[in-house]
Amino acid sequence: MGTRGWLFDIGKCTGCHACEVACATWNATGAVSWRQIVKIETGVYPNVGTRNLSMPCLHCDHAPCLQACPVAAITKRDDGVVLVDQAKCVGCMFCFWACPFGVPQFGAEGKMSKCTFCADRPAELPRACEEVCPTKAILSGEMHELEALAARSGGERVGGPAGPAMFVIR
Amino acid sequence: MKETAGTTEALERLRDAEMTPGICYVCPWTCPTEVYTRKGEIVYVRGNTRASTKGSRCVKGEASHVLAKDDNRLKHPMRRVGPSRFERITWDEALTQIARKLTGIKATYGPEAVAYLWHVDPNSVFAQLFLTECYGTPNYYGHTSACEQDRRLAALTVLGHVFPVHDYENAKFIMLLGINMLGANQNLFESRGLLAAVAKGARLVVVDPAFTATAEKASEWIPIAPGTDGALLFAMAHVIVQDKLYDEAFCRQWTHGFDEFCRHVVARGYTPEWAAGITDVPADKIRRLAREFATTRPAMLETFKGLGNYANGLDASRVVYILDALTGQVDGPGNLILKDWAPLQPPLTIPEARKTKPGKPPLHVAMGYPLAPDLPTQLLPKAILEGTPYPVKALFFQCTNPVMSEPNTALYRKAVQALELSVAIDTYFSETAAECEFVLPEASFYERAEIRQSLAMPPEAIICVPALAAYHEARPVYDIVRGLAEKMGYGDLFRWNSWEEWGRRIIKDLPTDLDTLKKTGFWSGELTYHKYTRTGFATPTGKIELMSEAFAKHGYNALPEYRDRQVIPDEAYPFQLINSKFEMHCNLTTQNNPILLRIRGENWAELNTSDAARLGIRDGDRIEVASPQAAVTIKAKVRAGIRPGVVCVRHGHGFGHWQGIAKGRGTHINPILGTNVNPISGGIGYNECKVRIRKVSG
Repeated sequence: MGTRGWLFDIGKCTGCHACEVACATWNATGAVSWRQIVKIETGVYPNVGTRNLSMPCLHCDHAPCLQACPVAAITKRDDGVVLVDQAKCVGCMFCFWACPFGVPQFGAEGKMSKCTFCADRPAELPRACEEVCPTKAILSGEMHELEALAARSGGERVGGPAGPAMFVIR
Repeated sequence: MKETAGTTEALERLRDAEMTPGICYVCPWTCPTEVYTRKGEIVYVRGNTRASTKGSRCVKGEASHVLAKDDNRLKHPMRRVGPSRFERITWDEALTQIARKLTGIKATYGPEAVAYLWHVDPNSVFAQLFLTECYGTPNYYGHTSACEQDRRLAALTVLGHVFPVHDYENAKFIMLLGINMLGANQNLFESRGLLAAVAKGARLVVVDPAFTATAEKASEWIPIAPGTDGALLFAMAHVIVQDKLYDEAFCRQWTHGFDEFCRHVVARGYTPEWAAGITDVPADKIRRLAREFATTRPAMLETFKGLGNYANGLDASRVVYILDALTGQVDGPGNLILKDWAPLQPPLTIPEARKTKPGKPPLHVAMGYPLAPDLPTQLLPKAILEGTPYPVKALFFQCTNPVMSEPNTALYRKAVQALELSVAIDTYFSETAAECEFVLPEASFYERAEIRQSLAMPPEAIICVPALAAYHEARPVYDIVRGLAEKMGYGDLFRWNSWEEWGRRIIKDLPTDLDTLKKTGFWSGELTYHKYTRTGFATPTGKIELMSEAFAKHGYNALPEYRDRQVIPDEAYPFQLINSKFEMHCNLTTQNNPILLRIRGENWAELNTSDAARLGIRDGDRIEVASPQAAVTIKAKVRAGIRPGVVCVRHGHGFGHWQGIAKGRGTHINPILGTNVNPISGGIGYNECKVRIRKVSG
């Protein structure tokens, strides 16, 4: 099995937050959100445009959070999924400073939590965010499959030395 | 796309849960769902993966499981004992007292003095059968005049269909006016289809003064002058007629009034140059849009609530469908779909001998709106306070909150207070409930049964199986009505051991059985196109009516005409107020939802960057929005994506009476709105309001 990641179609995302709520419900994330939704309006009237972004953990190839964690609470599975062991986490937030995308979240108990790629869902099932998305802007899968799908629509892998496991169609 | 169908058992195993098919009733689109429960608690909800939703959920629907445990819901029946003071009573006391009052009102004023209103209508067919057939009032109504009243009457008049849906996915040219399909109005299979069409290269043109979530995805955004869409549409018709771009064979065979309509638009001078001066859309652009629309197949032109928010919206909406007809773009792939309904039957039958025939016409007819598809609710206070056209003495409010959601909220409050009997049936304590004599707790859609039509393209029936036990003393409407019927001598007609008994009667003509339906959640028939070739259109002439026989019969102009909206900004009130909903909220059910409030804590008024700079207003400032009638303060949102001269108030907050976490958040704009209704449909012109704005604090 190859490593897994995301294909995100910006053109289809409406910024509706349904993915965020499905994630919070399936994963019982409590007071924190494992998906951050951003809507940015650009331009000058009447030439305006919008970018919507729904950001989960990108489960980077060379995860900076994992490298920054002083207590080895963060690990990477063979399928590429990056997980945190809350029993080991000391809440130092080094992962938060290291992550280029601001993914790690800290709830009332001070421990880091983040998207687990719905760790308990078998690979053949969609992720919670993916299955509720009204416009099917989110797709999970093996990176080599996603690469082929992305290429068909002119999509590209998110850049950077960390190697984020996400393709984006603009 | 990963297949979600067939993954139900896997999710059940993962969460040690049981899936119950449901219907989400957060909004009127009624999406079929899968509700996963464990030990009497909801652990997950997703869209029905086999039905047209394919697992999808909107944000407010997905967050709605909070309802099941919300301590702020109504828990037991209450009776008002003074201003803002209620006492707990038993169901038996409530039903006995309501029944006694209903009997008295019928004896004194006649049964027509009682009316029933709903916003969403779960199980209200039981109330309809009891009140309209047993008790004898014709006054059973929904909320359409506050919503798509003009669109509904236009669709009925022109196409003979109450609620066309959309085959976006197969369309190559889509033009949407005043409809935010990807925002608050999410019929989920349509959202998916619309973006799939755009991804395949379809042209999407969005006409709206605000840069909506749908405009974001459009090939072209046309920020038209508010309330002038009719002029744009007439000018498109003019181009199509002058250049003979219509489908003449289709029009000759399937439309009524083709020659008359063509002569009419030319004679009235509805040219692109005329429209340009009204709409602020250049004439050459109107010509191009008309030609693109008429020469691209398949194409679709559609509207919803936006046009009907002005008192001139009815004829504008008619021209939307007339344009679809002129080009022959009706009920085919990529067109508006005149959907077939599933063959569902009523849950019970009232024998003729037990029926009471009303002695007066329904209120909308007596009010002088015979074609209105739903009650012109802005005229209800007059019936209550002045007895015109005839007295209304009792009202039931099921999941509807007109004291908040109607314009002229102060007048509405006064009217509800003047009733001899007022009953709120709801999950939460609304502003309307606060003025009612009786407040009855309704079971939520997680705790009740229902079988109804879906709004998918093919004929489709969907079922809601109760996933949870009753919440405190809350009851479904079918049990409330049964209790009332027993008190009033009709108990034998409203008797069943379990909901499955009437459930079987509803589906007796479906080629399936209740046990199957309870597992799958839906039954879907075949999607067929061009159904009119077999059945004609359900209009007086059996054809698409470009010229309306029903309008002529009632003394209205048979051909649509362009009129200005009623309220035009002036020097003292220079801004046009327009309204728009957040996708996070609908009605009362979502107001107290902590998940939704975390995403959007309060609402705001949007104004253009240039207007804000001129008035010294910065994003996030509090501003006063004042109409000639009243003023409110609200947070300002400064953005490029709104037409200058327009203030757009987003809805979903500002509910103030009740003691939930929603209290004190945001502002409701309706207190500053006056009464402006369409003279034929009775639809409410929420955007018929001019305002001035000023900064209150930073």
